[in-house]
Amino acid sequence: MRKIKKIKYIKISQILIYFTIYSILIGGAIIMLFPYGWMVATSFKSQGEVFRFPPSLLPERFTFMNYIEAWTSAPLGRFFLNSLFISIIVTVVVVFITSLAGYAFARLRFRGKNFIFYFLFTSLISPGFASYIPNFLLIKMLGLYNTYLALILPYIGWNIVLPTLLLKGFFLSIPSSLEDAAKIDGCSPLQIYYKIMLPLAKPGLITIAIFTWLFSWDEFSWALTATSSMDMRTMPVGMTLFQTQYYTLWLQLSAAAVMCSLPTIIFFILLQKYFVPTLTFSAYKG
Amino acid sequence: MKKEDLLGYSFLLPSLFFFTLFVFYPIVWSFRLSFFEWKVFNEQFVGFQNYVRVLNDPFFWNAFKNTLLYVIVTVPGQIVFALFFAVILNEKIKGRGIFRTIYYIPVVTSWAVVSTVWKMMLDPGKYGFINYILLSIGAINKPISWLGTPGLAMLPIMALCIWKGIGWSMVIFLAALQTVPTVLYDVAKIDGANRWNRFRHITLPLISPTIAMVTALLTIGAFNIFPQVYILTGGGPIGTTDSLLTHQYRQSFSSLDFGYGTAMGYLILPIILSINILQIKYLSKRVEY
Repeated sequence: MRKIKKIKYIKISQILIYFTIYSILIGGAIIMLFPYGWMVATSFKSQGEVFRFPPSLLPERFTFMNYIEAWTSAPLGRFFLNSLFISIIVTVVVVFITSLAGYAFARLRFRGKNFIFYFLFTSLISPGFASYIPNFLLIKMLGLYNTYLALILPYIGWNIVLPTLLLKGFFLSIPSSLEDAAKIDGCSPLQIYYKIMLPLAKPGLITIAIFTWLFSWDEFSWALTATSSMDMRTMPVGMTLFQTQYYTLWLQLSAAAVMCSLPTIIFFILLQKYFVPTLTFSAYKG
Repeated sequence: MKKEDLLGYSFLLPSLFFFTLFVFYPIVWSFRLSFFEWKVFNEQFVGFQNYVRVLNDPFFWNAFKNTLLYVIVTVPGQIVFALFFAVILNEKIKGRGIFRTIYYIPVVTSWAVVSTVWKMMLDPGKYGFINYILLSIGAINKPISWLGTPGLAMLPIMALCIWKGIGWSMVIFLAALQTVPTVLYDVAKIDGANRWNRFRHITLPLISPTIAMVTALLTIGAFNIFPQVYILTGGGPIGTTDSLLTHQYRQSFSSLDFGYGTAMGYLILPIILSINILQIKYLSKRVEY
């Protein structure tokens, strides 16, 4: 009899624990998701509905007007395409050139390899924002101010060190017997890299592509500095143009915010396992 | 030159080109610039004058104080919440993958988007969502201008930093928790240790190296707080939310005072580095078991 009571007691306490855990988790999830819900809901509201008290959670009448207006009246479509263009180029170039570098550090033998490798670590003493100033002067000197290249070139430069380190590790983890076999079969080093190593390193390449994409899609402060005209602005910078000191176009702004976050969130849901941060990639956080 | 060397260099060349031009050269050149007074057509060597100007500038110290506050609040805030949720999600419960995904979404959303949406919810009118909630539960009796009140404006910025950062640290902690041998928990359970004691005496010491690394990295991040401040308040009202980077940005690119901007960069760098070294040294004590 006593035994049965004890089991019941354990069961009830177990249920209580689960109840608490789930309440905390669901509460947390609501706090995490609510701003997105608010953003999406606002983007479908009509003008009269935004400034109403009490505010409505869901729009009374769904309207796509804000998206159409944001896309046409402000050059939001242009911002979006600018960001897309820049991010794609940067990502492709970074994946290509850092995989070459990572492979060289992992597998090729040449003089000064260690020296060049440690040379990359000078980036640790970068004075952060202060290095924007020489970058800015350099871009001006090259006549690239307010062009796509003013963003693309530095973005590539700032995404060299960590991808190279990560890919070096990745290539090192691939057994070298495969390469030896290919060498015996008469493959050139370039063929080995291209036909054998790259396909094997695919997960690493995807990880790098994602983090480079995130960086270039989100980058704000340099894009703000190196561009000046409306038609060169990227999505994050362009969005702030909807907010002036005197008025803010909340409806178009929320439509813009949805458009800006959509590509990343779609990528995230599709390729979730590659998004897991490793400590090596931490510097991307900022 | 041997053929092998040539091959290696040609593989490295594109990366090194971009690295040297946009990372290495700016480091060297900004250091040089910090000793010059820069004007559009000429520059003049001024020694340590830029550094002296920064150190005598009350706006610099104001931004410094504010940034320290951001660091002191947001870094432990993120760590505590992230650790809390990581420990919960490390239990074998249904749907933990979904929660992990949800908590990670703010991490992958751009600062521009989340800052804008928060600004929208913090609208000073009564139709701003935060004001609406507080009004309807009776916590306040008239709408508050969250971002326009000195002394208050920093709170929403800190909350935003914590909210956005939890998922990132959480995922790293989750990975660290997986490495703790479950045998240790079983033994502790037999010895009658409760949940808190198991956490305090097994989990915490074993993942302390990870906590130290995360703390150091979050500290770098918090010192570099920029877009959220720029978008939410622009440093105002009356400089009460100004961060080092918003101050540096204004000095460099609005006033075009490049000497000041670079000198400031080289004053902050050793501070951040030494804080990081201390954090890693004291937080990641060697654990033996």
